[in-house]
Amino acid sequence: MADHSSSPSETPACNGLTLWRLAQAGRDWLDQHHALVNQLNVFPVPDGDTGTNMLMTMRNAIREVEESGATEHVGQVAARIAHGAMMGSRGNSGTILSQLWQGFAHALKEQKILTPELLAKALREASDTAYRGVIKPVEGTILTVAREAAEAAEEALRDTQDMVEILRRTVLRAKDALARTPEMLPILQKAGVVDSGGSGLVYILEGMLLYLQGQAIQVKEATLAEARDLAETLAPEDELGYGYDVQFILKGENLDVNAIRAAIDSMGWSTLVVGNEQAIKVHVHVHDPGIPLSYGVSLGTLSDIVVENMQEQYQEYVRERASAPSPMPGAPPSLAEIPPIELDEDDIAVVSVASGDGLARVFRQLGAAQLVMGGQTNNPSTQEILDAIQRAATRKVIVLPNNKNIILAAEQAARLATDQQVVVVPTRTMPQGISAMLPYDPKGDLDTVVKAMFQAKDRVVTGEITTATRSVELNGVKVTEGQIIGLIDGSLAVAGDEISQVLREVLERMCSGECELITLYYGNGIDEADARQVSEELSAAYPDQEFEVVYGGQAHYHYIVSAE
Amino acid sequence: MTRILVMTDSTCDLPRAWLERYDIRVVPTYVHFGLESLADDGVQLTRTAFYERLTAHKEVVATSAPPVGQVLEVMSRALAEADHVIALTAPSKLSGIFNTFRLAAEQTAPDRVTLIDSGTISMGLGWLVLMAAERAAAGLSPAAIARDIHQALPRVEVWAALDTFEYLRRSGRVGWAKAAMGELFQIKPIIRLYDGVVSSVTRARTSQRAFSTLVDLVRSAAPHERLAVMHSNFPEGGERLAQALADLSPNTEIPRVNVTPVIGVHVGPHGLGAAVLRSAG
Repeated sequence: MADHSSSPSETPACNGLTLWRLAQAGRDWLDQHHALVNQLNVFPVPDGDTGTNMLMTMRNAIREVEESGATEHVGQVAARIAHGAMMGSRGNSGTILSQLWQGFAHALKEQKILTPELLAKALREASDTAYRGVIKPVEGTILTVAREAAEAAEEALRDTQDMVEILRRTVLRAKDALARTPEMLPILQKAGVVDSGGSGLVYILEGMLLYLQGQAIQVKEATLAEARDLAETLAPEDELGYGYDVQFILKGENLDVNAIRAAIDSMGWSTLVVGNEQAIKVHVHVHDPGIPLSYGVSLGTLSDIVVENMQEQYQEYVRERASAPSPMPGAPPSLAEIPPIELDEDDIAVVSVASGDGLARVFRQLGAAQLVMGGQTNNPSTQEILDAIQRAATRKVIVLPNNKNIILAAEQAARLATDQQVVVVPTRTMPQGISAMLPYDPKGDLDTVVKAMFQAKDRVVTGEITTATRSVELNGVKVTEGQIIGLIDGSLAVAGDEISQVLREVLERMCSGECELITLYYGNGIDEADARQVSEELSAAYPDQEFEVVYGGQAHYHYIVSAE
Repeated sequence: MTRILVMTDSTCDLPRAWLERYDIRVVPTYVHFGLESLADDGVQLTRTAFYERLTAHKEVVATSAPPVGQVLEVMSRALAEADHVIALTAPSKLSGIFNTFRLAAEQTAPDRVTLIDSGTISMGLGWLVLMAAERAAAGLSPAAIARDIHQALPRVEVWAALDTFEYLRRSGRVGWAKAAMGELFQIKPIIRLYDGVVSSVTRARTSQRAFSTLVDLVRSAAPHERLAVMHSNFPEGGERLAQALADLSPNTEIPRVNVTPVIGVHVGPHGLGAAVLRSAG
């Protein structure tokens, strides 16, 4: 029977204790990388936490062995691991992982020693069981990685009996299969990632190999930083505050990683303790950094000590967040950063006119496939609108002119686009266009969608604040050239000398009774700080209304306002 | 007479009184705050505590299906007490719960378990679970109950008006909601869950508009055999919605349900919804 200190790589066959150590190493290696695995998630894999789910499953599996204390027969240990995984699995990936262990354990039933033949057989049964564990097995997932890993073990068995070599080739093939998952699953290719569950399995197998090779699982700083996810950096606030982030490397003789992990875990939270009998990396969040450090010194020597005040980190985070671009207002993403809507040929596309780069982003966010820049003083041509309709490349297109002077050009373009079915929803202002976009459904029936957009455009009142280019008297309002004027739904309503004053008067007339939300789109000549100032002043006068300030980027119009 | 027990998962929001009356067995699903995993059983995680924590949102919040072993335990116990188990779960298109139930059934007594993918959640699932339990109590055979449930499935509708896109976008379970973030902060999705698929009905910029859209949707599906109002920690809204729909259910009070945390993770607080079983024929 192998004891703790023997080098596992010299052991030709493994007993239960070795399997337990292998599984622990797999868990620890996954522990260090689970945040990376989380990041690989793409739809349709639900939730962004494949790594977490697999890690929780592995932790439960190992705990089950620890609690049962049965370490002699591989069969027993495998059965405990499988049971623990089954009772503690989380999520789809965890379920599949528990199925893998289920099959693995089944193959080792009644066995005392894990031979190379049995390893290959167990990997094969693991894969088979996992395939049966899902309703519709899909290639390009953890299943493919498990199957190819089993195949590699079987192939390796033909020319070697060396356990390490067999596992090495198994890991190599598993990694190779993982790298090919995007070729098998288009959604992965599109997202530019490999399969997350498959990646988790590779880390588990690789951790096992590292153990067999006698390598300590060293935690590189970079890896540790990556592994610390948002949840850990922003640890729960309690009456004692955020506490300290403590990290160090403990060196000593015959260190018991599990005992140290349990001890450290009892001192604080977000514990990460990995390593071997000679060196252990400790990471923990505590209120008193002295406690884990004193404990470490009692066991050996400490190096690479890092103590950080997380209260400061948190405040930093809050500051960064306050100035973060999105969803907080501020420096918004450029148009190119907002992905355009993806449409099939049979879908309905929207072509929208936008009078500023900010408004263009709003329309894109709401699903407009093609944007035509233009507005009051630079009406786009029929040709420009027609080009956009044709670029949309769908059979059905809805055009939003968003300006009364552009409606005719849009209708002209619609008639010229003979290969497509084009409908103009005659929106007269930018806010009307935005309101019309709300019920837009690319997969809907064209008549139904057009009807809904028609109704929606009139649910908003538009105010526009600009500078008069000539003197005039209209609707009983007398205007001198250079004065600030306010229009409501296209009609001259107010004239004055100050932007904020005119804006206030316009709002007074727009927002009577039912209005709930006021949105201010500020133009390219207005400072963001000014816009926020104006909004704050106005919101004091309208305590029951919500205000939203959005960069519109339009020329000439200081503000476009919508009330709904 | 065949003794039948009905089993479901915690995405079923059927009020406790009904669960107790029919001895319905519920397997909790899980909510994760970072690496902390809490059972959605009303004990480890109460609704009030959950929404407080969710809105503080310093943590990555996610949900997961129960372990097969846990389903196995509940199912084995039910099979020991009854001749047959009818299990209804959240949609297999949205969650792994159905699969964990399937694996558990395979490991117990597949011929004594009838497993149904309900395609719906919350009170949509609740109405189906109640239907199964009522029929079991009335002495119907498992086959007859399963037939009735399958006939009722297409008549179940769930709609919701969410306060924000944010939680749906973060959840990742709904593909089209992923890119929904941008310049405008005030965008309220009005969504439909039908046959396991979440689709966008429309969007609103004001809560009044969202509310009236929801009312219109519920009215468009009348007459109803069953009608329930849901809210995510928004009892005043739920009350207002129930009032606005009261005439549709003249003889019985419309149940108001605060949706369970595992759903709350994906919809966020301050949402309203309705679950309807349309009348047959």
